[in-house]
Amino acid sequence: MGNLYTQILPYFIFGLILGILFVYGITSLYRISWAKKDNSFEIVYNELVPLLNDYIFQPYINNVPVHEISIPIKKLKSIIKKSPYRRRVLIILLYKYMDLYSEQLDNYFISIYHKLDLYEDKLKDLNSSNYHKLIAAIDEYEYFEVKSKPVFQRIEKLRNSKNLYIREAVNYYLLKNSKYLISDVFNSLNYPLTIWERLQYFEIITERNFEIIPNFSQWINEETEPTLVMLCIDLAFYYNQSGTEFHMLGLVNTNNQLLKRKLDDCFEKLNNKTVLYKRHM
Amino acid sequence: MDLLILIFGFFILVYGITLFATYLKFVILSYRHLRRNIFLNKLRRKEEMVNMPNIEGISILTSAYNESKSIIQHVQSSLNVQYSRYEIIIVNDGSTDDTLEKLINYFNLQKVDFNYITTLQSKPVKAFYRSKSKAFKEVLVIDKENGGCKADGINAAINASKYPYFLNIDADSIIHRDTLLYFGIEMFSRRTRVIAVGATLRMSNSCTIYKGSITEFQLPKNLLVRFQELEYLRSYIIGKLGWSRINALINISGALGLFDKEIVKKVGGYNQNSLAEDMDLIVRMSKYMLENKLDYRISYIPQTLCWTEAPESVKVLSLQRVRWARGLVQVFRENWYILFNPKYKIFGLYTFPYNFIFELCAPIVEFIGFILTIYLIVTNKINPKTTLILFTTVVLLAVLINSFAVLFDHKLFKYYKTKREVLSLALISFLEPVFYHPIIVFSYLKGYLYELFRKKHKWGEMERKGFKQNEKYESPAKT
Repeated sequence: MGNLYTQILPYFIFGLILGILFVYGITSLYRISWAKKDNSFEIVYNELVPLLNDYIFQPYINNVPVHEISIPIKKLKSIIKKSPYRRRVLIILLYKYMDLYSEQLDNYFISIYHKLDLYEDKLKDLNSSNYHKLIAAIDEYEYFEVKSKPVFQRIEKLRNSKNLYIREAVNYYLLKNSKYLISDVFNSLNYPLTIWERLQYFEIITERNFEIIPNFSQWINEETEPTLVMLCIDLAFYYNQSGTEFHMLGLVNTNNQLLKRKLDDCFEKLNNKTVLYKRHM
Repeated sequence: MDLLILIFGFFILVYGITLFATYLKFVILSYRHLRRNIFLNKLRRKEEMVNMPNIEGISILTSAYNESKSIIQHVQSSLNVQYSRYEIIIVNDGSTDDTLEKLINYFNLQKVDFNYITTLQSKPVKAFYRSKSKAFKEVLVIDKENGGCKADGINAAINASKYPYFLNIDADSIIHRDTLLYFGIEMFSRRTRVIAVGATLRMSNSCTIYKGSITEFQLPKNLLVRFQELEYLRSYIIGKLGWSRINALINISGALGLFDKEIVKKVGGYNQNSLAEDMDLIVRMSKYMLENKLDYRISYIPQTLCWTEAPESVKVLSLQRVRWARGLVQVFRENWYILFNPKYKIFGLYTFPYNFIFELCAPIVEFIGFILTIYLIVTNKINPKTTLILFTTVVLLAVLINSFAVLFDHKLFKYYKTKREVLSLALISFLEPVFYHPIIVFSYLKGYLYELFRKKHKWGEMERKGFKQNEKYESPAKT
């Protein structure tokens, strides 16, 4: 036994030492790449931020109406050039500013994205077999409202993808940026929705001015996926659609625990409202 | 005797190879989980979540017993979190120091009436406090009789909480301002019901904190704390992340975890009699879901969201680990029937057996191995060269696993600013098996003996130094 150890293990030890050196070598490469990235990010960032400050934020602070603020296209082009990295830094900045100045300057930043053709960088990702890349591209197009025909057609083709993450991203895009009806999307939702999906659908539907708001009670039944029923209950209450309670009553014997909890919460709130209403009468 | 030694030798060989193979498997699993996490964060859900008005609310719960030195910074850090719907509930669990007075003075609290319904058992509540200042309207302080354990305080806080999810954090901890957002992404982005989520913890001992936020990260200066930092890194980034990937986690740290309140209430809340109330809760929650044939997930995310004060002396560290060891024995004693039981699926067939063989039994196996090695050396049945080769192999295996933890950590974070800090971590990886690990093994064995002889456990008061602050400041509630 002892001989076996002394014969084999030294080779194993050598392998382990190589392994450790290899892993720490990769760690060092990570550190070098960070330092480089941080450095080049800072250089581009320091060129872009003063420019955007002078052309956008100064006039905005001085109460110049948003539609009168000009976009420094030429100057921005000269900074980002054709470099994908520099273009990415600008997109990161646009995301950041849109979070900070949501609503007031949203359209302004979206038009910067379009006028500089920043969407071109992600076009090849729409055909990628790596679903992480594909979803990131759809997500960016949804955010910056890219509605060009080739983009739309490619994304629409992915509607029935077997990958639910892709379908999720496609549905957000279609609801937000196309003439797709809410019912078109909802009728295709035959799989369990995540809480995040429910929140997103709720937000997109209530924030975008849809011409046709369907009667959400049509999905409040036993045949519909319970998580979609939960979303429809929220939307029906948001739009004060009458008769929702009666459709909900038809589901009280459901076996789905989450839906049961949702129904209990809703009935409790409705009951409180009725009591308050009667008190004020 | 020789035959026995030979059999034990083979057993150790199989044991070691299995353990190392499992660790390597976890390295791969945790890498996959890490990639998913990075992908989700690239989708900017965190940023979108900040202002979502209809998002599910989260209650932040803390039970404090004699936490005078850290309580204000702790509450400040909870107040810094970014989320649109949350509340903070601090339970003063019968502190004998000035924890409550500090809270009252700093946050300008006054007694209020509160509709408290006891659904989970805890010691009686004496009073409820809220701030007069609107800046702290989310804060509720509960003053109750001492329950003798953290579980009792958290149960009281759960009773008073109003949101469907709660975050349980230790009073000697500082949380990241994006904690609820990171947890929210994991909790809300799964198609199966996520009933608990955990995240990485690091040591706050050498960090500088200002108004509840970490302003300067540093690798702990104290060697013992540095060992713990490395141990936590390995345990969280490789171990828990890997277990989470196959949905087989057995524990979410008691210092930081997000829980589904409905399931916690259904299993009766935290167990006041357990010395490992965090593991005990997760086991009961898993059992409940499996016995009722409900799909569930217990998740873990790699982000460091909590910095906690680690023991700086061997005595306090040993006390902590004795308690953990006793808690581990209690969990297995009360749930022995889960072991190899197919009814409990992966939890019964993999999680429980692994933790029994490689966590609970490991200190015993190591101790027997140590005694045997000494015997073999003394009786000249093994030559020193073989011993040295075997020992070097074990140390290098441990160092390799640690190096993966450091690498994965670098993939996500930039906490260690200098090369020196990384080198230092690499160096202590070599020292850990020799200097730190024996303390842990000894403490666990001590814990097993205490539990075997049913020695009464006293909830000791851990020595607190408090956080290193870079400025003193006045209460904003009074200005």
